[in-house]
Amino acid sequence: MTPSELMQYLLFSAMLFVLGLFGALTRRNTVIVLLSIELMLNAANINLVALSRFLPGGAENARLPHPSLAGDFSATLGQTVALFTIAVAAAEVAVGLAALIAFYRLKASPNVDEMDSLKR
Amino acid sequence: MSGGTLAFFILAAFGLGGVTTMLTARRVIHMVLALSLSFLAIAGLYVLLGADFLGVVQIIVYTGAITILAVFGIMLTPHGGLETEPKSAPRQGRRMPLVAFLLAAGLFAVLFWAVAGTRFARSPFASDEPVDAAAIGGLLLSSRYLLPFEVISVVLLVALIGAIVLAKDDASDTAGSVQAEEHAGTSPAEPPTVRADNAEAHRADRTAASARDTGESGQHVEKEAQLVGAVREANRE
Repeated sequence: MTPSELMQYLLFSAMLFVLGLFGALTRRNTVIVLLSIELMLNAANINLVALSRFLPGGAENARLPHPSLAGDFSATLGQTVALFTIAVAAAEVAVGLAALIAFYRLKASPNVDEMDSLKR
Repeated sequence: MSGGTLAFFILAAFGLGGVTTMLTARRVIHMVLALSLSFLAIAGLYVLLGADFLGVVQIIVYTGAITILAVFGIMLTPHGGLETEPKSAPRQGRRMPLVAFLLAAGLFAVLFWAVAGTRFARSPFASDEPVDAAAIGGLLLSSRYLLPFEVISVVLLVALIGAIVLAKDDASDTAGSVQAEEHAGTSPAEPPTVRADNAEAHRADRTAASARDTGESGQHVEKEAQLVGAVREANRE
């Protein structure tokens, strides 16, 4: 992978992030806002994975004097962090949609611009 | 142009096309389906980057679970399925798209400037080999990342329980809501004692109120109200 290829990935993820931001700011339906936020998290994940391809493969790190650092600073680490992000994003969607159901029971509307009061 | 670059551009076109469709579609369900296409394209990009395991996880979690969850969310909150402008939207709300566009365009300009202006130096040990899933597992179970790995499982458990608690319909607590009233009106599951109870309570309140209104000392009425209250307590227990 050359630096110019990395740049393609970074620019693609920048576009995804910006479009997700636009969607999160302009859409009114809560589900779409949540999914736009997911898109932004996905863009960050692509960055993590693409940039970690420029790190050492991992096997040669085993020769380091500190054996506990063997997996660190390797291509594996970027993917592991992306895995953490996916887990947190899944939890966020579950709680967000549950909150939407609870809100809909109150106001009979799924739109975010009607979520403007703290009490029923 | 190599095969990898061609594959990247095809997948990127699908990804951006899905997002653009999401932003222009009118029906909410079409938006979700378009977004699932771009999630799929992102999974393809992960495979292209040598992250096979992450690509599979992306398909399972995003294209599978989150899209289905979103479809459930849409179908449980019926509103005509349309993303429309409200008729009585405040002027501030209508100006929002322009502000959002300017914000997004400005952010993209900054990101482009940052990416284009950075020199990325590749490690001499870096390889394009796909990362083994076992290596990810080994890293997660190593002493340095075991604690975050366990914490993330607790986060998922808490999210599961929190989602259940949030979405649970406790009918007794939502008397103000339209749906709960409909529910109470039609449900045969509601125990009749509660109804009798409510009726008694209403009667007691009314008698007490009338007693107060007419200016009577109305001790016997008060006593009756107390009696009804005691009955209600007993019923509840």
